[in-house]
Amino acid sequence: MAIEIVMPKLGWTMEEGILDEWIKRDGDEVQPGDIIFVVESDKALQEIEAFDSGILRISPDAPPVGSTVKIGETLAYLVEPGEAPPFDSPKADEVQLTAHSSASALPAAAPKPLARQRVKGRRGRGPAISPRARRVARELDVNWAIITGSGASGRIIERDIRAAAELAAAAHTEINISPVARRVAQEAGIDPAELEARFPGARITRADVEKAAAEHGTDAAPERQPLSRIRQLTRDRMIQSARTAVPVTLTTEVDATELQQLRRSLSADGGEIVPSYNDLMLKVVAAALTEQPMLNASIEADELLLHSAINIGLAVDTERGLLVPVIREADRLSLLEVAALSADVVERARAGKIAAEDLQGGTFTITNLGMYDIDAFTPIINLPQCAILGVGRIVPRQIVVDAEAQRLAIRQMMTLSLTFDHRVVDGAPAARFLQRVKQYVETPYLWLVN
Amino acid sequence: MREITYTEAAREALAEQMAVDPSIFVVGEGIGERGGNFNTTLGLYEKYGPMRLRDTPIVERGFVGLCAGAAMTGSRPVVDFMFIDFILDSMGELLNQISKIQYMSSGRIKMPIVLRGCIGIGGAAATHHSGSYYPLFVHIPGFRVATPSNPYDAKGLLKTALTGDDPVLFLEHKLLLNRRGPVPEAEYALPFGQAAVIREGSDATVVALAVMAPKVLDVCDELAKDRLDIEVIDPRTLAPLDMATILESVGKTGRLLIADETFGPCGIGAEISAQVMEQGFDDLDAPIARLNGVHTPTPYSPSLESAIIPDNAAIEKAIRDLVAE
Repeated sequence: MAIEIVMPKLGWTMEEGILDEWIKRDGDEVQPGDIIFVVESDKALQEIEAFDSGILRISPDAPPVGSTVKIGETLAYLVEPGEAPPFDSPKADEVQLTAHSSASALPAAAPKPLARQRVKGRRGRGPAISPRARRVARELDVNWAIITGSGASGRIIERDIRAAAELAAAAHTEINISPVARRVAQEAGIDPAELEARFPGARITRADVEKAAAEHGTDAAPERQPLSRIRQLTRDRMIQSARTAVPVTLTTEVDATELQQLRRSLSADGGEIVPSYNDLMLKVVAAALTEQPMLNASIEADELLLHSAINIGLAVDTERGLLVPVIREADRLSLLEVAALSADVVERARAGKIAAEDLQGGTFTITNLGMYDIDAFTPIINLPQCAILGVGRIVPRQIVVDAEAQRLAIRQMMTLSLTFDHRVVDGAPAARFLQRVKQYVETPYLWLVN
Repeated sequence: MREITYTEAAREALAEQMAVDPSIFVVGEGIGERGGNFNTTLGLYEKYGPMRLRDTPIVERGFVGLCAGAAMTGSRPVVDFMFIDFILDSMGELLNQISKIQYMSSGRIKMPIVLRGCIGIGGAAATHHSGSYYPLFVHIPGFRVATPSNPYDAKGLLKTALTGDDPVLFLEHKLLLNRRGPVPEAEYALPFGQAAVIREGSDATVVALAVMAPKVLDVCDELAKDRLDIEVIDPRTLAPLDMATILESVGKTGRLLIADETFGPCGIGAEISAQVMEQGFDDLDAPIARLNGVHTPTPYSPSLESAIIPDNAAIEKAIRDLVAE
């Protein structure tokens, strides 16, 4: 029995995936645990293992590499040695069709596929269209055979016909333009309709086009690129956050001199792993979150979810776009464990090798723009999380350390920007959280002892 | 306007007609002194006594046959079945005599009989007390079938039932009985065969039967927040069925869902769907959708019971799917 290999569902929100690469080839022998292919989904590349053994057979009609495939759709089969894959056995329709076309070889009691063929033929004649759309098309004289339907199953519905009719009406409106002007406009890449809007009523002349072209300058048509999967997801999530969350940003300036000293000491000690500032901030935030669980909460319908695990996402800029790998239970890990884990996930994120589960389940996010000389900013909350901490650069500043003694000092200062969702938490607890983060940055011993 | 319950409104219609028409009498189990299992006759026994509110033994076929004879000879019987499920024991009289006698006598004999009872699923009443059965009666020529969804309709339709010449099934969904609604004190009656557009909209039409009418209205209020503008029609009577109102609405919206708590196969949704296909095909912008309870005997377990009837979430999904088609 052939075993189907389908596009797997790799996360709750996954509906489709991109078939990135076949690791095994058509005809290869496969053992359970072998990597068969690679899927790109929800920002991550995931290697898919075989559960069964057999010979891999990929149909010529299978989805090509690089195509987007719905979960559950068949990609290939595993068959026994010598077994023909299901796509090799001709389908009933094809048999009938062959029999039909070679009349001389037709046996006397040939099957009569007439009724079925008629049904098929009717389907094959053109796209599906609702009766109402067909009626409106007749009324508005629209040729619906060339229209793409917007119904759930691709059916042409009334609004498609009306849109096509409007488009046709707009396109058919004669623009009053001289032949020379039309040619010049075409050469300059200017839409005559745009000229008409600029010079309504009058006949558009060459001078009008040249005037418009001069204003246009070298303003050529923009280059169009399809949005990558990551860009699309980022777009959707940002829109969702902007529409749903009620963000408030608090900023505070903290003295990171001790934090810097801590890092220098660890570096000077010659340890194998030196924690980055992000690692230090991750531990600081994890420690503060254990004391302010409201900042580690989210809202679901009419309920507040207080997450017991503190899973901190780290915003990472990669060639493929923004990714947020998650360090799980950061409060239970030592600083060096956090450093080792984050180095691993960040590297895998940058290499496009990160697994989907490494990107899921975050309860708080840290984003650091310090390396670009940014101080304060207003990060967007990564829903359904409650808050995100923006980390600014560390920069030496002259500050007042003792007002009475009128003493100044040069300290390593850093700005922190906490954006929180006011639906989940109020300003005071959020401010207390940020204040605690400030204390932990300024006095790292407080959390290092735990 | 004053607000009274569905049961009070229907009882008021019965009391008013009993006062003006001495030929009306009620038979049934527990409808005398007890005032009816669902309070349908509460207080009437004290007023009109045992001759006009006659308790019966548990012999549906017997007392339905008796009432058929009474109706043929000039009385106006009201048979109160309590749960309409019990009507099934009198099918021979109903289908062979009551529905046919006017035709068989060339209209010389009238059949002014009202057959009333509670329909629908709710309250863990189990499968012998949860039926609706109206498609059976809509299928047979000769019956009128009313399924009021609110107190105003209950009173107005029962008034018409008690003044007409035809056998009428007056079916009261048990979950509607205690719902309150405005009912004028002035005399009125609602003609059969006139659907009510209970909510106007342009994105889709939902025909909602009996208990589904208030449920669908609630869902449509929620959907309105997402700018989904749904038209809702309560047919009020299923025989005669006001197809003109439904067709006019579909002409406007192009989309139709029939929401009916009882079974789908050969049901009212199938009938409406077929008629729209026959008379309004070119108005349809999407396949007609039906939402029905599960095709199964009604379980007693409350959790299983609620699982087989379309809840608000199911209604919302059905409407959203229809609009997205």
